[in-house]
Amino acid sequence: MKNNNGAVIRRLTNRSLKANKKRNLFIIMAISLTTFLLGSVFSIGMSLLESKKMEEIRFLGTVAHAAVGHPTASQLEQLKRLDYVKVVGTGNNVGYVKNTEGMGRISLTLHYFDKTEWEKLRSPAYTDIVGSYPQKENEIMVSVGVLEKMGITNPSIGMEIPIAYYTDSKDSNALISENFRLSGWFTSYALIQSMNRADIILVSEELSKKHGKTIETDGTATLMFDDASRVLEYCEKLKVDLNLTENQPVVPAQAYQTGKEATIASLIALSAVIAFLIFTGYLLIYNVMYISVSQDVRFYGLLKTLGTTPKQIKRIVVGQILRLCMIGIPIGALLALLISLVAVPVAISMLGATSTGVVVSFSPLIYLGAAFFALLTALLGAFKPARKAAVISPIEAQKFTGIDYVSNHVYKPTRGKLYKMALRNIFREKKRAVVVLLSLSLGMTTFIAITTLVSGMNINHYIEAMYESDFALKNFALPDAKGLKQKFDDAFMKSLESLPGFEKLNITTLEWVRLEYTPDMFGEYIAAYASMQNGIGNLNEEQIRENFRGFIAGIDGEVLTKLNETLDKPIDIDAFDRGELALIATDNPELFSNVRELTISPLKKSESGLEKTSGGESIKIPLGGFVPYSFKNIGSGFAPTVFISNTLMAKIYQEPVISEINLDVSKEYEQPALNLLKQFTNDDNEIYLTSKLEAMRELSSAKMVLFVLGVSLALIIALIGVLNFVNVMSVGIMVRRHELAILESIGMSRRQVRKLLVREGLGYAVITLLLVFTIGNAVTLGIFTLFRQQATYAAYSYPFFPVILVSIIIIAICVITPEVAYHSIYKKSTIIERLRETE
Amino acid sequence: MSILSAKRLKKYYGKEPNIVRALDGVNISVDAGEFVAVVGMSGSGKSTLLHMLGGLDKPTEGEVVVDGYELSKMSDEQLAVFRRRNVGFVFQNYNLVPILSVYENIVLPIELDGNKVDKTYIDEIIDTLGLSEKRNSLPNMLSGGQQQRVAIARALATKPSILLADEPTGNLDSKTSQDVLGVLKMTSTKFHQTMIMITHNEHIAQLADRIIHISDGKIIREGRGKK
Repeated sequence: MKNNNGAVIRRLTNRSLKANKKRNLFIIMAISLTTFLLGSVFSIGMSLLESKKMEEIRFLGTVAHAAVGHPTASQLEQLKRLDYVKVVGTGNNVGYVKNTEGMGRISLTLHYFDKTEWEKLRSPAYTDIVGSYPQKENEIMVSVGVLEKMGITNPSIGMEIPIAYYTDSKDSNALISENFRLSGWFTSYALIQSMNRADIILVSEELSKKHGKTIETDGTATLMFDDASRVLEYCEKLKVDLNLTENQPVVPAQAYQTGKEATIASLIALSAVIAFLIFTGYLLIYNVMYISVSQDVRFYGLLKTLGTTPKQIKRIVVGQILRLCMIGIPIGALLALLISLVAVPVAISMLGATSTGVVVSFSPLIYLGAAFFALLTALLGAFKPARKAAVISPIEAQKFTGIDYVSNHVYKPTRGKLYKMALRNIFREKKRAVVVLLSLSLGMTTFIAITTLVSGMNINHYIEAMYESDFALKNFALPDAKGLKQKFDDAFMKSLESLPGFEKLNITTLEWVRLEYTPDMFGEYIAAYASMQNGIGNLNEEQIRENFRGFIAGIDGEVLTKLNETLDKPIDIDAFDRGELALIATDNPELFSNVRELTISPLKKSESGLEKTSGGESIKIPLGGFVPYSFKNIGSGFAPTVFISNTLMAKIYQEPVISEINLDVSKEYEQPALNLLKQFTNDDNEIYLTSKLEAMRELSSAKMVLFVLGVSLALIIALIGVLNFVNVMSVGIMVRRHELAILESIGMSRRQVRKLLVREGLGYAVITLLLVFTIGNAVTLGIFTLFRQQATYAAYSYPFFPVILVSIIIIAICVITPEVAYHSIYKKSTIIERLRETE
Repeated sequence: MSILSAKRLKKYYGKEPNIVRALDGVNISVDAGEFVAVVGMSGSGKSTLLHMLGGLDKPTEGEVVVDGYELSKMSDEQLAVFRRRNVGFVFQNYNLVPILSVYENIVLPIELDGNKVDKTYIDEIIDTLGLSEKRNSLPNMLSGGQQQRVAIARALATKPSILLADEPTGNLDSKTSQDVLGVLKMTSTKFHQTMIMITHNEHIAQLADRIIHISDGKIIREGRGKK
């Protein structure tokens, strides 16, 4: 039955919209709030994702997907022809820089990139690029980080930089000294990524040619594939397609080596948030629309009498929602855009998600997604009301007064008790009451949950968990040919002890050791190790025995006290201090189930590698337990890392190198001690200072931002619930004006009517609060418990003050709304006029 | 020739023992161009009868045939289309669409059907009913009598097979009532309209060609009007 009635349906839709201004306002608000919330969530999610991606790329220093080592010219030609390879860039090593005094132990190489490599693959991973890629033989381009190491803080194009370098890695004495000119600079993250250990200086093709460097001997080709999700697959394919040899490795970029578990987890979390927001938005839109249709029953019934088909009526209802979406969605999207300009960068940087700066995403996906889901919400909300309007019986519609009297429930007499009447009024339309109560409680529960989570992020607990002392000083000097440098000498230690308010210090010492290997004791460990590290499997027993070397660290027994509380088998600290026990650092103690005793041979680093110490005899120490692998962040060599007491360390190694100092001062001296320590370690980038006080300050501001963002989000969700209530309550009173007039005509005083209505409002408030304080609190506790599994430092504390405040606000709104609504109907007319009124 | 017929029409509400027999076996037949009045007390079942004849409600038993259409076999969707093409309604409380102007109200059934409005015919109706000056007014700006005239105009607009009027003067004072009845009678004659009117007022019923008396859901008496 297709016919040309679009015009009249459109007219009815538009007129109907015009006649329901107040309802439109509510729906527009609901739609824009939903769009806004969804948009904000998407915006944070996308920005986080892009910031992470950017961080990865910047740390990698390239956007390439993989690299092929030492390709021949014909292989390069082949590469460019492969249909799955999109970009091929090449580069080669030109020389090694001889470090000057101030540069520390950074390893700098001179490197040449071809035009594609630089423009397509490298420069997108760099920021703040100034100048241009070196063209002339004596031009160089340097990262800002390296320039700083060279003592240049204010670079200019063309400035002279002297560099001494050698081109043969085996002959570091064939030095070439040259005065280069700076052709440009950029910010890269290679230094941060390598912990100040490696970076490159870019040179021209001419210099590369001059030293006879080629891609085949000194270079790599880096590639970008047509599909980033198939990097590993393509890497395998390349081996076959290019016929690559043993010394032509194909290496996928780090970012593409890992699995997708993290992404799936965050996708699930995101879907849950979207579903929740859609649900809250739906509750409001559905209720407003349903009430509006119920009020317009006569209108729709009349249209039906006159021959409007159910389909046409559905089109009228849905058409109204669509038109309101056209206003609401852009408003919401615009608000979300504003938020992403202001709050998203703050949120992301405060979440500490990235270290290379925040990328705020303005991907159209965010806004299309938000618009799509908001539209979905609105249509979901309109669907049932539209059906209701479509099936309205024209005859019943004529008799309709806005209230359903139909009830198969036999009530007990109210005996004129107002609160009983009020309660009955609330549940007169059960579904409507349920939706309002659900919406209100959901809003308030979200508020409590977010407040609990944020205030549960106990900074003190966090700091206590993360920092074991007020200050930590770490030896960041790199081991050189003679081993680790003793940064913290006696004089330094003395100066620490004389700090104001000094309480105590603990040191961690670090040296090399060889463990005696027997397959019986360490076989399982080697098997597990081999499964993670290639090449180990090929070693024979003798080679393993020879290479079973690693770190040995000395600590003071008392630092184990806290750890002992979490261990099933506590460590005997006294015995440890006496030097009678050794500990292994591992997260898998079961690998060492056959180890009863360790036989250690102290090693010292010398020019020719690790050697036995002069007087060092092998020592046997019973194994006294295990500490976590990450304990003291030492890492491990081939052999597991062993912990013994500092006294024993001193006995074995005479003067073991101190790798870390943990220092405590009395509370009131924390700030002055921090200032002094900063002076001590100033300009020495081989000492890394961390301070509990500073960490605490940073976290406090982060928590504040999180709190403000979280609470605003929660308030907006709560607002949806409140809007729902206000709409139901005020419409409910409007519809019942006739009934209220009847009550008054039979002798109910105005005061009593008002009391009745206020009690209805209060009823909503009380039921909501009951729900929130029972189910809502249980849910909050559940969420918190889940959260705590991730963040063990979280401490549960019920946010009494905010909850009381919000409860008062809810009660106030529930009381004020019926008052206002009643006054608006009262203003107009006398009892008789209201009794007469039918429309 | 019969344009409308109802056979053994029954409409029951509720269940035993509280069953309400609103219609209890009504047979009726109306010829084209005839003006029939249905008279009865409040609760006699006359409104229910009108609802059945207009396809607004479905009978418990029996059949209604209007202009060859068997109503009980139609779906909700088809009934709506049937109504806008074949039935014109005039109600006691006018039932104008408040958000549409007088003219828009009158042409609404035509437009719902997706047809072009026959302007000359509509203008003729509007003129006949004296609504020319109110064409663009909204219903709430009109008096009761004027609103009922608009409702009559709307009922005539699609040239329906039958015109059903349910207490068309129930809300009007006696002078306006006379006026509206006159208009109704005059237009139905002028446009050769079949009309069934429901009323509880014997005096008004006398205007019809035929008078059917109904009580407790049954036809108790039939007679001719005085004219």
